[in-house]
Amino acid sequence: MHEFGIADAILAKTLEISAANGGASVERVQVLVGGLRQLVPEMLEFAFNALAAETAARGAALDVELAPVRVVCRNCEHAFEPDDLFWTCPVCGTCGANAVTGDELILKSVTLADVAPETASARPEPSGEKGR
Amino acid sequence: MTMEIHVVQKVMKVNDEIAQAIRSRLEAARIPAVNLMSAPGSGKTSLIETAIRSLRDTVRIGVIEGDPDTTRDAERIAALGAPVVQINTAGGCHLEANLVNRALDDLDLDALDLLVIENVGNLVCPVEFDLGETRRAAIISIPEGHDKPAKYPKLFRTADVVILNKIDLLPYVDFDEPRFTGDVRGLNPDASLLRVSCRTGEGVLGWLDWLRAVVQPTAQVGR
Ligand SMILES: Nc1nc2c(ncn2[C@@H]2O[C@H](COP(=O)(O)OP(=O)(O)OP(=O)(O)O)[C@@H](O)[C@H]2O)c(=O)[nH]1
Ligand SMILES: [Mg+2]
Ligand SMILES: [Zn+2]
Repeated sequence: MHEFGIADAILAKTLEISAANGGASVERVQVLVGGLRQLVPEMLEFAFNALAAETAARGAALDVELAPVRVVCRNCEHAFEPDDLFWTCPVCGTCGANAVTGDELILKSVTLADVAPETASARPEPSGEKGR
Repeated sequence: MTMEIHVVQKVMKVNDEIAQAIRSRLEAARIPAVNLMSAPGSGKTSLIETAIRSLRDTVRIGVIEGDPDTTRDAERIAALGAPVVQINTAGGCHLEANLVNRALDDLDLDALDLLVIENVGNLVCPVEFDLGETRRAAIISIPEGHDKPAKYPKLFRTADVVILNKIDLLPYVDFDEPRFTGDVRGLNPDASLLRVSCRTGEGVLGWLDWLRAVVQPTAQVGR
């Protein structure tokens, strides 16, 4: 159930961005999740929606994009997308390859609705600057 | 108007930054940290107790105990006279770096040679959170079955040592040890693999040697 901890981190950053834009309500949040992250997208969405219920992100859609796992053979350095448990190299048969991608967990974008033009800030870190 | 803001930021940034801060703190104090991960009841606390009892005169061990709800494990460690800090996760299924960082404030790091962190019993969630540890230990016990590495591969892929505990129970359970060993080797050819019984003491020397090597990586000459 670490989905809740991760949804909480996504929500915190999302609300920071909303606050920097006059508290605009959040319509959509896009995240990229690597195939090694042991996250169930539906659980992540559920957790995000539950935590967001009382916030500016209430009802926002969480789009989870999955990133593929890519590994490199420890023997011959062949790069491949593994299709077995042991990440066996299709070229030389060595198992236990090293992961190069698959651990991504990235907040890609936040879409805000009803942003008043004068409070809109294109940068996510406008410290101190508050819309009124 | 609607506005899409591109962020591209690591979601775990906060945890990872605190983990890095922990790493610096521990490096400054010259103590390595071992993060023990397993299902509930595999023997994490028993392995720590064994280490404290046996290494008492040579390695000063401090312990951080992650526990969803009780102080029982911390009491077991305190009864042996070792410094211990309890982290109550209030039902949470894993430790996070901020909790460990706070717990470190309550330990006298200069009086320690090794920090052992007992994570919350869980084979999935703890794996995702860097705690600033030096080494990761995955523990599995005989009654849990030989198929656990195949079912929870990430824990075993990222472990520095895999400890098979409760080997005294092998005669009573249909645990296919060659299969288990093959799976662990296939997932992680680099991990050390130890067979231990905290009950009979079999294999405990291997666990103690592994810990000594973590504390003093150069002192492995005498074999
Ligand atoms: N037979 C046998 N029992 C063991 C062994 N090691 C531990 N136990 C028993 O297994 C039970 C759980 O051990 P703990 O050390 O508390 O396990 P743990 O992983 O710390 O458990 P949680 O903190 O609850 O996740 C206790 O009753 C121990 O006495 C062993 O090698 N053999
Ligand atoms: Mg315990
Ligand atoms: Zn190869």
